[in-house]
Amino acid sequence: MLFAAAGSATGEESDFDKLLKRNAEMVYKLAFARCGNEADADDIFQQVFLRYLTRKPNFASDEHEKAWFIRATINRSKSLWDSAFRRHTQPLEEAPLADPTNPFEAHESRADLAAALAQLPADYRTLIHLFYYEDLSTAQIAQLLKRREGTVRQQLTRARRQLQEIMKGDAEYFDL
Amino acid sequence: MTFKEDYRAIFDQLQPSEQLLAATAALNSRPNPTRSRRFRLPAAAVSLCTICLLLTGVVVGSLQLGQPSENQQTTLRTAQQPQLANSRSIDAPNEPTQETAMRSLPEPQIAEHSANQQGLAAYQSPGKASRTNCYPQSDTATGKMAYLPAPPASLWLTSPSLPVYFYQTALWLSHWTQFK
Repeated sequence: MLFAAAGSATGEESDFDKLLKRNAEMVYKLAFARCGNEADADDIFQQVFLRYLTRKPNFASDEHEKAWFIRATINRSKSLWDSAFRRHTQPLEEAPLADPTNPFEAHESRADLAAALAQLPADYRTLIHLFYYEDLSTAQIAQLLKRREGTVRQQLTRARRQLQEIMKGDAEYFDL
Repeated sequence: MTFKEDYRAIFDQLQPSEQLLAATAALNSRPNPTRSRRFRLPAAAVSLCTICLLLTGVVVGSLQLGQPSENQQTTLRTAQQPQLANSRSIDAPNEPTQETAMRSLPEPQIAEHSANQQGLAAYQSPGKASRTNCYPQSDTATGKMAYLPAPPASLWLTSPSLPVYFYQTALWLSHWTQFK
């Protein structure tokens, strides 16, 4: 794959290439879930791995490694969102949906869900992504985000209820 | 279909582009990817500190230079013996003492040195000679004989504030460099 081309000239994969292969999709999808567009997701993705190269943290386990990358992705997206450049720009509301390559538009029936997700706060989108896509338990999410487990559960319920109100769907669809 | 299935279906299609992965993998092949610049000082703070340090150095240095010690009332200068000293010079702290310098001099220079001492004595006693008479004068006959009186210690010790220090430093430096 592309890692062979991006890796060393000898054809051997370096440790960084292996780590990139393990965590690339998770980091990119979480970044996309938080910021909602590919350009920002690309920026966050590179910043996360650049942060890894700068810090070179030692991971005790795979779970530790995954938690570090999730935490770094959330932090980088917050930094991007709070940056001076971002604070002085006005987002184009229609831009993500106008892109035909946007995965939210790939399936017509999911367009409503994508639009509803885009209206949620970034923290709620993060919780939903970690819970429904990364299959983390509420206890793991609470430990990762340094919140109480009850708070995480409450926020998850609120996020699902908010989605239901936006989409005007039934409660069973959202596990409510 | 449930919400979870739809959500997963949306994000399953999402992949980082190959260019992004290649560019990110190439970050590791850089010689030193921004590791040496973890901590950056603001440029303004650095400039301010540098200016303060320089000013402090100038003030302290000129105070050290300008403050005469107890046995250093003047510095003798001649054309042939620029460091002929009756005491330690400011720019050559390990000068020989007056006696050793005198022993090593030939007789004409010893006589000249005595003349210097007389001129100095005239300068230090205001009743006998005015201050301007004691400024170094180039002897038209021999081209020798010049000495520079240092400013009195009270000039430095009684300065009330920093601007006065600067003014006095500039004043002393102008005198000192004029006759060096």
